[in-house]
Amino acid sequence: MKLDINDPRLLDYVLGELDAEETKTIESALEDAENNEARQYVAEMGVVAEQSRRVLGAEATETLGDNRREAVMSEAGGATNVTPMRTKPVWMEPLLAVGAVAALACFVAFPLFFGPQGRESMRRETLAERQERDRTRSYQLPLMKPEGLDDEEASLAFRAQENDAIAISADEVGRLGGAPVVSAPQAPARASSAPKDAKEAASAEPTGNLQNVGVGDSVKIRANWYADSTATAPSPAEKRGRRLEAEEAQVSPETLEQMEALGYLGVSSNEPLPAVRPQQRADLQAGSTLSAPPAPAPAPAAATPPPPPKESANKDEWFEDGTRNLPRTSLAFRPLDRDGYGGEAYAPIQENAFLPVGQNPLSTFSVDVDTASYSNVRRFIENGQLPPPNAVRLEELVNYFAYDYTPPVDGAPFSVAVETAGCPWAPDHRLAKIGVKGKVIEAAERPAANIVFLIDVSGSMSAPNKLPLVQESLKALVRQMDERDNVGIVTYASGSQIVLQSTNGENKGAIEAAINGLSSGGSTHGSAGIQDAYNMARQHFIPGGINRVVLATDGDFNVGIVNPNALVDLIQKEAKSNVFLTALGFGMGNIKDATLEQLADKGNGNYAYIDDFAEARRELVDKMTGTLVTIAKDVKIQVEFNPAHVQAYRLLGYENRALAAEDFNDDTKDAGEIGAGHTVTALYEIVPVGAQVNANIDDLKYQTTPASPPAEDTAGSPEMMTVKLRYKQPEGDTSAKIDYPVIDNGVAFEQAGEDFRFAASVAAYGMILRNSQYKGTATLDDVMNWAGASEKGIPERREFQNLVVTTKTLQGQYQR
Amino acid sequence: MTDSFGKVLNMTDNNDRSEWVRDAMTRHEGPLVRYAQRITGDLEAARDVVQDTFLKLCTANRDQVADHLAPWLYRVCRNRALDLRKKEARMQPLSDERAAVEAGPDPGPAARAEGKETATMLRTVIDALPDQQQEVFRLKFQDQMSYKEISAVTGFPLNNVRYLIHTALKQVRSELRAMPGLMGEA
Repeated sequence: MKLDINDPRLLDYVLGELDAEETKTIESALEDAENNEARQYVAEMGVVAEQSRRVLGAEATETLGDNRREAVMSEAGGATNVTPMRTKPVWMEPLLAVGAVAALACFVAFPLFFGPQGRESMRRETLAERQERDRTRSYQLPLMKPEGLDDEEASLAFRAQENDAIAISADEVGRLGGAPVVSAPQAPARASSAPKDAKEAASAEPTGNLQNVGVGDSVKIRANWYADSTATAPSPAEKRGRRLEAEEAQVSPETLEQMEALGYLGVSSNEPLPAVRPQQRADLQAGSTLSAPPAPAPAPAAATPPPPPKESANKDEWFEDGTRNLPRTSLAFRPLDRDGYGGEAYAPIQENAFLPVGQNPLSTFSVDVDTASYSNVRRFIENGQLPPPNAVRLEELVNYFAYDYTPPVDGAPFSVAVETAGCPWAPDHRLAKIGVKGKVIEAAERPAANIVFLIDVSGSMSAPNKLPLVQESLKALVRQMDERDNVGIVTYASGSQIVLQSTNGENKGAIEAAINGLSSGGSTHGSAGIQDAYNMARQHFIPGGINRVVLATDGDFNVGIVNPNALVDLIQKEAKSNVFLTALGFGMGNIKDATLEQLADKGNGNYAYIDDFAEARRELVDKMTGTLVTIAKDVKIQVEFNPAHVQAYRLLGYENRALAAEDFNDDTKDAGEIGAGHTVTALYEIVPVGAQVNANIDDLKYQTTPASPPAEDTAGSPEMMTVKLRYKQPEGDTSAKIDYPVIDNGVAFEQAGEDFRFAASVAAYGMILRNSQYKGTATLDDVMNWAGASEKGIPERREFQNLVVTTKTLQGQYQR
Repeated sequence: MTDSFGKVLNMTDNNDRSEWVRDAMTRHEGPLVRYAQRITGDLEAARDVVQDTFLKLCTANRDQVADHLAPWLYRVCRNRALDLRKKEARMQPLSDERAAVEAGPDPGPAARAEGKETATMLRTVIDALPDQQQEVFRLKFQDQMSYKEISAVTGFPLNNVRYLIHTALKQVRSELRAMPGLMGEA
């Protein structure tokens, strides 16, 4: 029997994973002379395996340490009950239930003294306590600013809490309604600052639903918790187990489902709320404007009846010692994204549908050069997870790659080229690729730069893939600067600080020293920092130069800025001064992708996600002139389709860049920017006349299609569409327009250019990740074929192909 | 006597159980901490995770667990470590090392190989594997698990485990082949 060296059984054989019969088969086949190649391969692989075993086996192991061993042995010695795993809820066990109630009492009775859960306290917990802690979760509610407080007061009110009890606003109560409550506050607990009597606490009965809770109350909600929590959905057995638990806890299955639907389950909370620092408390004590308690939070406007305001007078005196007599703000209830990406936030995407051209002859959108979605998706896949669909933005995936577009000539800021060919995932359809290329500026020719780095140095930035990476990335950028430039550094955490006044780019030493000196700590109060950064940038404004604020953060504005809109408004206002914004996202888990994208959008800037130094180098060094030098702003595209040739069309991506048709000619409407050397690519899937359309829109009742007879001068025109582009000079206010008519030459997909096929494959990949209804016949194997063995822009494209292979594995894993 | 679940409780079970747990700890604590550390990135966190794992062992149903103790321990350990990592949002050392490998200019395997041991080169190559492949590869060659056990530990379907290991092995081989003099030193 001839053996192919690609036969997976060969490797299984090397690894000893074949059963007896198969082993015999392979062994006897290997003895045949015709299988010399296979035999050599097996021998080689055997060596690799053996060496790997040796090398890995020699890796040092660490012991558990004496303390921990003792802890385990004392538990092992003391355990007398053989508890079957998960056949019955553990808390039913009488001993444990008592322990549980006692533990619960501890939680309820000592909220004020419950500091952050350090690892120390974890170790000293008994097993019972831990199990009880595992079974109940403290939830944080979304941050909502109570009316009557401005941002400053609200943020201080938040910081005034130093424990991990949480507060809910009346609005939230209405929204949550029905979530099972394990412990609700009793009036005495709130009014007194003395530790609660354990017995009293133990008698606190679960109230059954959140409607009985009011503003300023603290709750612990019984959660569904599967002990082996994984990122995947619960198995049917687990679900049944949870249902049983819910029954025990007297939670109706409907409530359970509601909670699941709201994504409240599985939140790993027990994260301590930011503690009040002694300095802040002193500030609060000293601050006179905040000593009088502002008006309490308003009654909710929710559909469900608002809870009766319980002891509203007491709420203002929650903090008895007078230093914190501010109304509690409601806190972040961080409903976990259904897919389990705690703390990350992605704006939902409503995919563009096929639009019949009769009713929608114009397609208008703002140009986008952000690439963050690709780095982000890559980060998920490389860590073994499929990304949440809303993190996949097709246009950002496609635009991550460099394409070989002809640069503009004659001093025009950019060039436009449109290519059309067959659509590989829907053979009856056509695909049109619009490519815009920005003027190339050599690094030496670039204008002088006035840059202010605005760096988030809050506590959440301390992870190694955040602040340290920020520092390395920024130093890489600074190395590109010279005596024409100015660099300043502003940091923000609980407050904002000017770390470095705008300094000439020649003094790299001073700038680097300032960057190296950054350290993190505190909560994230973004607005003050932004103000300072823009002020500095404006003060040192270089006309005709690059004026930019470079924001480096994980987007975690969860404290301080209670109203995200205020932040965005602030950026928008500042952007009018022609200081642009580059937003760099770092780290994972807390990254507020939606926030950062919005900031960059409103700030006339771009947004990139930096997950490692290679990416930092790419964004800040290789693409530096592009990242920093804007050559046209408020760039919009409007496409008019010719109904003689086009029945319907669909824009792939750009969902959150859509503009109304009339916005195209409206110069007051903000749009995207194009940087030097940048390319922008947009894909349209087109249903030509004669093909089948699946558009879901009814035929017009009062007009026959086509909606109106074709215009005289274009009747019989071979043009499929006209692409129009409007742009402004970076410091200008009036836009100029260029028109680009397109004729479809009927080229087949296979004959299309390499860039065309690659862009299509990336778009298809994105659609597959989103499980889009428009992905047609595309599969990951197709994506690999269409991306082909393309050699252009080698490293990124090869990386993409590896990514697709990894995705294939992951997909297989999720389809059990 | 019976406990509340109707099982017969042997009075000598306590001592046996103690011994059993101690035995398991002695045998597995080192490799488990090493495994956990790859996920948490931090030694102390890894030790906490492994401690929790053995604590869980204390109350586990011995009959059910005993015949596949190692995969059970690793699975519990893995879940705990991932949970902790999610909480603390720390980057894995795997990614750290990978970034370092990517970012630095590559002197070329030949240049690096001169004067350097096979073992270091091989370790570099293995460390450069993508996370999933690396985890599964280590479970196979460092912790000596079978596909089935690895599948139980990680939750990946068996075929995927097989595919990942094959891919990793091929990758390691191709990297080694690019370095002269390393193959054939059995």
